[in-house]
Amino acid sequence: MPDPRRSTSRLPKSFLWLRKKQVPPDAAKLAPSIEAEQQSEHPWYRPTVLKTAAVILVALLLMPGSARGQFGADIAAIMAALSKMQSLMNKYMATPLKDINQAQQTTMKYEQEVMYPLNAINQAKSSVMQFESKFTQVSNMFRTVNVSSATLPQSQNLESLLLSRNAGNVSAVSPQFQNVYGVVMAQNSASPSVRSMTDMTDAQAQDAMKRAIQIDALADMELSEADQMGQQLSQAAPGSAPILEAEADVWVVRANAYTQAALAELMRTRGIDIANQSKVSKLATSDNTGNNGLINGALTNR
Amino acid sequence: MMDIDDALGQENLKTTLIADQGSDAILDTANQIENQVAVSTPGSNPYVTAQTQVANLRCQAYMQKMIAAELRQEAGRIAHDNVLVKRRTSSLAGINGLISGSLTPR
Repeated sequence: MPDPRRSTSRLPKSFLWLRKKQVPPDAAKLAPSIEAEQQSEHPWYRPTVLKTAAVILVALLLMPGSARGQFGADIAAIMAALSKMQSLMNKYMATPLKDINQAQQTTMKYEQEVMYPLNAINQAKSSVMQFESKFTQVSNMFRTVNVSSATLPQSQNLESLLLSRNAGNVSAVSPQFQNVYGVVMAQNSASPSVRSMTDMTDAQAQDAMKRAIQIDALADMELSEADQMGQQLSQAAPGSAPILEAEADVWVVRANAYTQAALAELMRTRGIDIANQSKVSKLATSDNTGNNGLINGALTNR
Repeated sequence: MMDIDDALGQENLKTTLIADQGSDAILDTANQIENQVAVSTPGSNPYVTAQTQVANLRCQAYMQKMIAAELRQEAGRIAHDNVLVKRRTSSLAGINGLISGSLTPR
């Protein structure tokens, strides 16, 4: 039995052609008229359920979607949602923001009228300027008034050094001091103890004079710094004034240290003075003892 | 030596005049600052406190000037006493020689 699929006698069928009942080739040969009759009874355009469904499906696929027009039911929903959102924002955001704004205005008013009133700040600044003017006069008196009083050349040279307020002149004090107060006695002209005492006293006197020059220079520096800070203070903002105060505090601490150094030097000088007086008493006692021995010996031998 | 002693003494006397004026100014300033504190606000207080510290620094400087003058005077005083010791020593050496010469048996 030949394969019907390889049969060349098959007729081509269109896509929409309904599958017909398979008939044996012999029967086909035998009944060509019947087949022709059947073809005439089933044309290719004959509607079937399958064809109808396919057409409907294609039509549905190709049909455009419905467009959403304006002023529909969606807009009403959106508007309602927006209205609800607005009421929520008014309730939970606008009211707190209004409270915050009011609090900020109250704070600002408090700061302007109580904490940082402009009149009080300007008054404080003018007071600072008045103080500065007054202190500048006194400081200039300390700086510029000439208190030197020596009349002789050697003492004038020493005095000008002592009042120079220049720490660079410290090294020149010793020669001028020796020109005025002399030097330590020669080796054989006095006892070693007296020479030591004299040398120590001269040294301490020179130390004190040199320290006085340094302290004068430091005091001038502090006065200059105070003048500068006073001028800055008269132009400072309320926020920067504490910074200047802190800087002034630091300078006060330094000044206390310098004052203590000067007082220590003064204490040493007075200590040396007392020690010298004691030493003189001791020397006088020993000298008297020796002189008494000589006198007694002279009187008893004769 | 007498000239420098006089000079140091006069210096200190002049310095005391300036120091007195400075102390007057400081007291006056302190009173004004106190009055300023009475009418100050928290915002203007930093000016007052800073000005007080600046005035304090100036007080320290004035005090140092006075201590320096005192140092000069004390140094001059012990130097003066030291000169007297030097001279006394040399004088005593001569006197001792004279006394010893007169008292020693000839």
